Amino acid sequence: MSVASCPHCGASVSGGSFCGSCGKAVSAGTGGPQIVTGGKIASTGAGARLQSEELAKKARSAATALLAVAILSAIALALLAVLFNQPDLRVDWSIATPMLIGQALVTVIFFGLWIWARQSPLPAAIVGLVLYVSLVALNAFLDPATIAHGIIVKVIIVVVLIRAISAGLQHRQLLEAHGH
Amino acid sequence: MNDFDNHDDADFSARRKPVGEPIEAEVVEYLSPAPAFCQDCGTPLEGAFSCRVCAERQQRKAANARARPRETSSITSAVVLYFVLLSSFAILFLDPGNVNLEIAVGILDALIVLIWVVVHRKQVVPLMKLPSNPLWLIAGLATGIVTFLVTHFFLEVVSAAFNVPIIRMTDEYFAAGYTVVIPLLMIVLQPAIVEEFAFRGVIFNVLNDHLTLKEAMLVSACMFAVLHLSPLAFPHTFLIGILAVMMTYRTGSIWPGVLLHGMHNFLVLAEEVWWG
Repeated sequence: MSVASCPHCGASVSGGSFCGSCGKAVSAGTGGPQIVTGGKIASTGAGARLQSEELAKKARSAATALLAVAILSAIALALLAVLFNQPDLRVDWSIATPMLIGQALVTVIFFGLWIWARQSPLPAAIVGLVLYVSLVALNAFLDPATIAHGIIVKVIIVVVLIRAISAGLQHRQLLEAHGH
Repeated sequence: MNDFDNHDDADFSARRKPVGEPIEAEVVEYLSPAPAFCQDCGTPLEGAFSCRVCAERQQRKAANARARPRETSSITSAVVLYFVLLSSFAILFLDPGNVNLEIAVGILDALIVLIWVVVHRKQVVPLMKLPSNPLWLIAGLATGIVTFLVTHFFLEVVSAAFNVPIIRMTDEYFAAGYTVVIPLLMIVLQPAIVEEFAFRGVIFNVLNDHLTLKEAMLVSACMFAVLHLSPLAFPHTFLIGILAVMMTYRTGSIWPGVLLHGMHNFLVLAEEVWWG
């Protein structure tokens, strides 16, 4: 076992990530602090705490994406309601009513997912991604031209949700690996 | 003569301290002090020789390992299965109302789910046994009747309140010249088996490897409800999803959920064909 001296108090440190004398973090002996990237998980308690905070922050970005979808959906609902109530427009209410109910339901669900994501981002992000992509796909099946509408916003929302799911999964792996 | 007597006298006398010098100085020089902090996590040891935090962490890790003895599978697999099934629905939009296309998509869905069942056979095959208590099968049928009644009441209220037409599923089959056998296969049997194996067999089990039990139940039921691509059908399909997954988890068998789903769909068909 290699013996080194603690850079903080000078006591000899043999193995471990913390000094047994002063309790401060010491180099792992492989050239200073370790950078944990990609799918790797921090091996030390202090590293795990830092990585956990970072991953939790990234997972919580799902809430922002879900709120954005909820607001966009609410705006679409308001526009539909205004459009259908135009006096000079002959509206087939047997089609318009299910559309309005469906849009209202989608709005309520995404606001619900936003609230859920603030508590538990991973499952909310999975449901949000599945629901959002399904709605985009449904619109595209009915009218293929709609897929190009707001394509950048759609891509951003999907990417944010996928990254949030990935971060959420890694966060849970990290907590499990450290026995939480 | 003992071993002590074999030491080289000259060497021994050179290392020996002069008489009267305190022996503690030599002990301090050769022994490092007892650590005050855990060298693995930095927690103060507070007089103990081993770290309580690390020990508790090891116990929790062991408990987690015992609680989740199954092999974990990638969550991507569940999400991909969902989107593959969603894509197969897209084929129906190429020619709406074509029942032959619906039958082809039904067969395609069955093959897709079969592939996933084979891939996740370690998790799905144990669910194929019958429940230890056969009453669960009756409970599945009874729950199917309850979900049908709830759905019927809900759709009647929505239809009356908002003048929304209720879509009939069997008319296209009869118009295409099929007898009731094909609707029975395509509306009752195929969804009950294929969707249960997909959502309760594969998706729920995969999600349960990564999420808590409640989260996995909620997410799988949401995915099941969303796949039907009908906002008005969302409440009752979500209800069926939750009840079926609870039965599957409680019994360790997929069949009560299959009977629940099958009975619900059978009553929908019976209402259209015989009571409507």
